[in-house]
Amino acid sequence: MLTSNILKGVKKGFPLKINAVKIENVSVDYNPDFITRILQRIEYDALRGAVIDLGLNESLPETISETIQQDETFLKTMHKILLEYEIEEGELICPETGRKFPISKGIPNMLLQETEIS
Amino acid sequence: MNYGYADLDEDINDDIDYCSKELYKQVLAHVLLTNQNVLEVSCGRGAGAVWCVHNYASGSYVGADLSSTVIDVCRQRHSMISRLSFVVADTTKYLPFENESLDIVLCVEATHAYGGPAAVQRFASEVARVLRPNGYFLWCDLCHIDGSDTSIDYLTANGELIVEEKINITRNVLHALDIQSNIRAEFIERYARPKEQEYFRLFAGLPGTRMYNGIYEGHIQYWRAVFRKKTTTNMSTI
Repeated sequence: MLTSNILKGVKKGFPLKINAVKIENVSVDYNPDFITRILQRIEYDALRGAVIDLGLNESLPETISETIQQDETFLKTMHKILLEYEIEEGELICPETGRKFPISKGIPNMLLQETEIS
Repeated sequence: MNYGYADLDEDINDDIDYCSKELYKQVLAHVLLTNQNVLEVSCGRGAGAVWCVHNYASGSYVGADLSSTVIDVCRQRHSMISRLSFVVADTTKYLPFENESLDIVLCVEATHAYGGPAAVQRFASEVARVLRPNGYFLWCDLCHIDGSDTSIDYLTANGELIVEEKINITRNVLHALDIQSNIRAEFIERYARPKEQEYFRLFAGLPGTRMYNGIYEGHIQYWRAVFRKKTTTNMSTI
């Protein structure tokens, strides 16, 4: 889900909606320093929206404050969401055009047709 | 696999990937990847991506390639490496990333195969779009010296990327080809089908091939460069 946070569809089509058919849980060593640093680089609202859309059983606050970014429970939740959920099969959907980009074996295929390129 | 880089006093090394890793080191020299969002375009089978993730503490690292087959290989081999992911994308047409979302774009030995000046210029525009202001585009590749513009000129033609550094590393690449020639020739002989061996030899730039001779005779050079995304104030970051 870390990758999905920076992918996009068309010029203004961010964030891409995620439709997951198959999600796998993987285990990744927890590194609080990494999570703290990467928090500064992600679009939190987009990530939270994706978590809700996917129906993941994770509770995220609506906004994040300086205080909560130091909270160990929050950091572990972010670690799990960003690094331990792998969307194996599904699709990314442009919120403007509805164009679907398939995800197969965990890899989004973002190839465009010739007619889609301006 | 890339052509590789070797210091001129370097000798034969048993590690078949040694010179290829050295080329990545050269391209990444003087630029910090720590905590940066990195995109490697035309990442191939991902060996360079894996090496970068293991040796530089990047924030996120995405490898993109046109070939879904090759990205499938990446996924099979490298799926357990966190912070590293892959996407299928045609980088000569469109980079599927938000404007100004990336700190570094990396491109190793690929633009010569992008299909000519127009494709390279389009690629450069996309690189400039996805890079944050003052972000870096790190590049190396073969350049055919035929009197016309070289790849570096195509990459800067639209004025969005500024050359911070460009270095002719032809001699080092040629030396790498020399010291790797036996180990690569043996590999090809062992694993490539007979009718494909000549193609692989040419692809690997083995001595005696048209590619090797072109580099040796000076018709083909090899350059590396650091480009910075131009900002409105055009001030370098430290």
